[in-house]
Amino acid sequence: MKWILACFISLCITTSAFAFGISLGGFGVSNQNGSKNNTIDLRRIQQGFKLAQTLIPISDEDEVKLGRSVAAKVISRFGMDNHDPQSTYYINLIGTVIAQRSDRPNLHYHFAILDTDDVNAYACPGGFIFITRGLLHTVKDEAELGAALAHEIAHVTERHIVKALQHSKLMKTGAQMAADAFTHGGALFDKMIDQATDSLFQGLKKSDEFDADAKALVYLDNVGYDYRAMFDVLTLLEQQTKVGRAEVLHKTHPDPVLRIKKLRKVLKHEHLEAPTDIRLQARFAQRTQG
Amino acid sequence: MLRVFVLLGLLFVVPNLACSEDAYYIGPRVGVDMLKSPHSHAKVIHHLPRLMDVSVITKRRSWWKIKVMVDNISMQGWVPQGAIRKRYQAKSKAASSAMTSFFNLFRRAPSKRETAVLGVRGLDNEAKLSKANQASVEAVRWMEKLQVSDQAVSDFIQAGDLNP
Repeated sequence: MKWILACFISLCITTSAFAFGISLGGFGVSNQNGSKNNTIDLRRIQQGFKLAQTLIPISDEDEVKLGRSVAAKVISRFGMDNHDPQSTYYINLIGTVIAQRSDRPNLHYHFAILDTDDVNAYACPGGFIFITRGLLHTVKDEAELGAALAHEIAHVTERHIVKALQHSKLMKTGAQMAADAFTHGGALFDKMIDQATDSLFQGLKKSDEFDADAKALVYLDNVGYDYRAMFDVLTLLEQQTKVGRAEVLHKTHPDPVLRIKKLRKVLKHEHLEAPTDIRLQARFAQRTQG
Repeated sequence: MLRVFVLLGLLFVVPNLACSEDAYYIGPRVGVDMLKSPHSHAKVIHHLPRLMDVSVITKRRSWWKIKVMVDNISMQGWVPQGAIRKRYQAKSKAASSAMTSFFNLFRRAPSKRETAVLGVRGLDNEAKLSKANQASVEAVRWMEKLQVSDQAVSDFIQAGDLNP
């Protein structure tokens, strides 16, 4: 008997709630000024939509904080090559010189070598840049090493990973929550780190890679290196892909042949001066014990 | 006694007839650390979660070299043999159906008792993972400490005949 009574009461509640819902929904339609009200509502909805689509700003300080955690993930995956501090200092010198002539010269850049023979490089937000031991042993001179570093620096100056994160669904949770995540850490910040790390390991947009190539060309020229080294590095990458030493890079980057083709177009538009012959092969060999 | 032997025989024969051999996955509830070399003190390459599919490359006593795909990136490393389970993968739909019926004979009703998510081994793995993370954080700090002075940069530019 109790069960029947309970079922009856719940049925009554459900039915009345449903009827109340219909009456609320029907109100707007039966309203004489309905069309006007509907327009206003639509506008409000559109405004809300635009607000939701507005990118949540990430300050330099927050970017460095995020980059620090992403860099730790990169190191935990590959390990850092600490056996050759001279080479690490050397890439820091080259990287700093290029970064000082980049579009974000005020950011502090840090460079390190990853303990893997795979040919690749990674740029974390906030200026944490890694090249692999495989890449260091593949390039032939300082200008080529500079080209690889300039490409990674360009990813930082153009904030490619930060932009990918800003466009992700994760950051649509609201400005206040995102700001709190950067200030206090927590689960949302952990998710942001994961999202940024995924972007790094799965590869950025093709357009971002072409963009970084183009910027790298300009940065090399700013410093005075022979900017043709950029083309040589891409040719080297193509060769390394063929022998299976750059598998990850091949999966996460556009085809080097296509990159060279795009870069030639950029060269026409940038109106760079005639290339210098500065390759510094001897200094590279001496500093990297090659 | 004969029945026991027949049953045991079936237990080994049926899966081997119906299954392909080369499917493995990570067994422990808390996952396992994939190491660079077959030693418990070796460097952790990546933490593999439970049920992750792996390919076994070589087997060396109690350590197996495996290959995994993480974020579309192929990674290789060593894990203890005990962390790897064989996945019974059917060769065909009919084989799958037969296999399910066969294993259902031995299936027990699910226990209502709740199991602790982390056991002692779990805590051990968590501690290891935390240790690896701590080492990476230290490495990032080391990176940040390594600064090149303005004088060193200036000398470097001058020596290389680069643009001042």
